[in-house]
Amino acid sequence: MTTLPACVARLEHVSKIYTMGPVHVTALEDVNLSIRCGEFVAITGPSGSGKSTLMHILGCLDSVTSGTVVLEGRDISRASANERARIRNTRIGFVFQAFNLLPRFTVQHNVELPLTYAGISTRERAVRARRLIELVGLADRAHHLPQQLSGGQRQRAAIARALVNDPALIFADEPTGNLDTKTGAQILQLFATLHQQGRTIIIVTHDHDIAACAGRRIALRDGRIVQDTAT
Amino acid sequence: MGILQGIIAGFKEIWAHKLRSFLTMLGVILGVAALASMFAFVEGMFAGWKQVMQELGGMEKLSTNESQIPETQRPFRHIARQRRRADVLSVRANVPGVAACAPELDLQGGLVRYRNKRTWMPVYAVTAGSLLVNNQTVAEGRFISDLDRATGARVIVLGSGIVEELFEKNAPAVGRLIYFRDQPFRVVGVMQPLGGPGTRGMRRGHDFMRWRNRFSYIPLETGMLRMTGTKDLTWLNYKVKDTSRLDRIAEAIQNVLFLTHRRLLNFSVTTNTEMFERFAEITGAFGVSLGIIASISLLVGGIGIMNIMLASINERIREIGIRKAIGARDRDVLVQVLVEAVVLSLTGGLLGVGVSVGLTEAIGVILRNTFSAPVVRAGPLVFSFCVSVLVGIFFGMYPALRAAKLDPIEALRYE
Repeated sequence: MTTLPACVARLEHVSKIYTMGPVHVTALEDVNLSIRCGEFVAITGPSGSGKSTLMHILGCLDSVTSGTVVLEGRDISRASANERARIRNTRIGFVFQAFNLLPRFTVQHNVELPLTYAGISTRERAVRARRLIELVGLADRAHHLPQQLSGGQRQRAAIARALVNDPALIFADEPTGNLDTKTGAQILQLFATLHQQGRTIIIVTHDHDIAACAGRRIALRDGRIVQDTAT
Repeated sequence: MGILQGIIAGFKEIWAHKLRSFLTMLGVILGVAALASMFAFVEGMFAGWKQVMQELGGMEKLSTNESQIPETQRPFRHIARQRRRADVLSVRANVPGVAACAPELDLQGGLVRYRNKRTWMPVYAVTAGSLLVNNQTVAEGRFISDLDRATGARVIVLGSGIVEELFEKNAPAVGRLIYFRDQPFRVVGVMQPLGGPGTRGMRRGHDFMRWRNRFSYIPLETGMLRMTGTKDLTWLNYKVKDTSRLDRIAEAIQNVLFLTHRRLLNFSVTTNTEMFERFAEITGAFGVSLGIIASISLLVGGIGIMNIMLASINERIREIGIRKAIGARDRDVLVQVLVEAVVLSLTGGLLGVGVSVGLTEAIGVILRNTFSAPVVRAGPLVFSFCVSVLVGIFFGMYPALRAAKLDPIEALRYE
């Protein structure tokens, strides 16, 4: 019998309601979810189903209207903006559809950026960023600007940036959405490799092929979890 | 994120938008230049006027001039006495605290001739005391002596300006014979040029100094006996030992003269204090109004910075979103934007200080013949520079707060 892996993140009765003037939009309604260490989770659902909101709440970008969010055993549902910034900085890595690299910074600097906010020394930043740039296979592009890279290379740089603080959770929001099929497959392969190395990865997508790669699939509709299965 | 990295990032940002940054800085450059130049200008006015005051005898000088006799005393006008040597003796005997007395007679000037050269020169008949009372010294030879006065000698001490005009360069003036109003005078001395050799006043040779440097002096009695034929004096000047007792001494002189003039007020005792006070007032008013104008231009510079920073953060909403997503706190974003604004204003301030130094030099060239040549000092430059930094902080604060308050999710979605 294997021991159950520790729980990284847990949502209990989480609801999120956006108020836009007189209109209340319920983005999430009574969501219960638990993500264990080392899982590879795909969150799917049509647009407006609340999957982005779910990612924002799990990724400490947004607060909940009601319910509890526990990250690594700590209740973060009432955390202040500064505390959430600190958690995002040290425990969470984001990979976006549009890469979101800073255009005037080289790959090396982009990857170093989270370490800068963590207050890590210049020398150590360079070493750690270098290691991850090598890991994602961009060693010869470290001093290029994002615009000098292909889409796939940019996404690799973004993944390196997400990994640089050794986060507990990695979020990827449609990471292959701006890439061609072949490059997308390579990026997905990179995520699979990271998963094999024991990292916890959550991919938000509406592509069923990508969802099929993940070990667990959570489908959302109208702010509720309608399916939660291991594939 | 450290301040140093922030500053480096700020400079990079400025470098990335060279033209835009320069135009923004221009406001601060002009504002700081105006402020620093204003300081130099007022400072120059102050220094110039101080010099003039000093050369008019300074604060220690008291003067007795002729004055309109009051209406009530008009009927006794015919018995009124003019200012005479007796007044000097009474003052010297009865008023303590007077360091020197200088009875002077204005001869209204006249034609002076040396060989074939002629010129007009202002001449005063004086005693030895004038040298001290007017803060002057003799450059060559000697001044009027008591013996000259006792004998009514035809000797003259020439102003340096007259010497330049009449005699060939570098030749000794003492001992020569000149004719003033067709009477022969032996030159016994030459006055030290005002402003002193090599000082600003002399080198730039402004008009006031040139005029003063033509003043020439003969013994008082010579003037009375051989020129005017009266015993009346034009001025009775005094120098006091202690300026803090100036008012009391002026009052004492007034009282003594009141008696010697048979209680007829055909004289007035004046001090230089009023002139000093009026001058300080004018300088102060100039300082305030120029300061306000300079501040308005700095304000405009600051608004320019605020405007450009708002535009800049609007362009970089997505960047701010990314930075926040990877862990930048509100404070980090605030510092980043603020540092950029301060770097802009600081660079502008430095350039502005440079411009002001150039500007004051240029104004100095234009104003070289006046007293108001601006004076550049380090203090006002540093002050103006510091003000520019404060302007950056003040006008950068609002854009920085706006950037810091951006919601990361909204910012990331922003196209």
